[in-house]
Amino acid sequence: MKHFFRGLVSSFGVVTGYVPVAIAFGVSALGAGLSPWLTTAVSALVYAGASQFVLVGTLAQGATPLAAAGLALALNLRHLIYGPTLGDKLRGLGHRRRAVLSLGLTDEVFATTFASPLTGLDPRQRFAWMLGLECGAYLAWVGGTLLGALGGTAILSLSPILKPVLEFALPLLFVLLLEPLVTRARGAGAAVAGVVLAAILHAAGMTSWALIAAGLGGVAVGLIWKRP
Amino acid sequence: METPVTHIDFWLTIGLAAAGTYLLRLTGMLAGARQSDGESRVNRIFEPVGPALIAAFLWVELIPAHTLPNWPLLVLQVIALSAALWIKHRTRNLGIALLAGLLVYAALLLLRGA
Repeated sequence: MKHFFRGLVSSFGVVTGYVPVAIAFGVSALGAGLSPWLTTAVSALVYAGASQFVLVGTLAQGATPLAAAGLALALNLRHLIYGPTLGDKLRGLGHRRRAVLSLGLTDEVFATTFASPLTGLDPRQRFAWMLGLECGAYLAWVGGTLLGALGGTAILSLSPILKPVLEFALPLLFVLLLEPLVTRARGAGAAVAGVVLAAILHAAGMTSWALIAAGLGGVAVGLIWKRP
Repeated sequence: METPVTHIDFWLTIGLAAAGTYLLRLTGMLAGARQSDGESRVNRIFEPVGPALIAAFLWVELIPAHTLPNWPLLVLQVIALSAALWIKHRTRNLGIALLAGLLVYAALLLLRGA
């Protein structure tokens, strides 16, 4: 239990980052025509940040379920690499525990786990720590969504700058997440490839394809540019 | 639900997205369990997908499709982004940097409106 609470405390940074973005998602989903409860259900069940914005946006535009879900999954392809990258932190954990931790393995949870020194802990303690971290992040995301969906209009009418500020939370989060990934040439090259491909297709109005192309551009960089 | 999407379509989409996202995460976690001491080829290939996609998200969020960017607003956003990055370097805390970036942006919007 002690390690669970330590993980929960370690989730503070993620929680602070999630709440404004989750409120923005709640407000944006409400604007797309979802009820507060359906909006919260999306966050509780899908729990995948940016792809939820895309999911709700494409649904509101009348996309088929397969196309909307396929696009969201294409955006989440990067989640495949988190498990192998967390090798040391997950050492000694059985399949059942890995299955539980997979429920909450978001970008920020991955980054926090990756950056935390858990070397002195045994597998049970590491599992408890990661579970605490994931619970904090999950509650912040779902709670923030509910808050945004229930009080979205009232909250936004408090000030004319609130809406643009909340909408700015997502690009801000992306910049903060991207920065440590582009300190090496390979990561920077992948980011440039992603931006160039996305910019071309986005300018042509094909935003969904722009993101898929950026992901494929990243795979191409991974195939061509060998890691030193 | 007020969108043209039916409830069945909605739940089907959410179900597919939720199950698919979980399976992606689980596959990576189980692949990690089978991984030996050496690094996997899949890991090496997929590693650049993260920065490529996040950079693309950023572009799509900041630059509107079909129209020219709102340059004065973009300048304010770049200032707020730079401030957030600086604070992240100082505090090493993503949450604090995010809040600071939002506050800087809010202050800049208020100053512009004043």
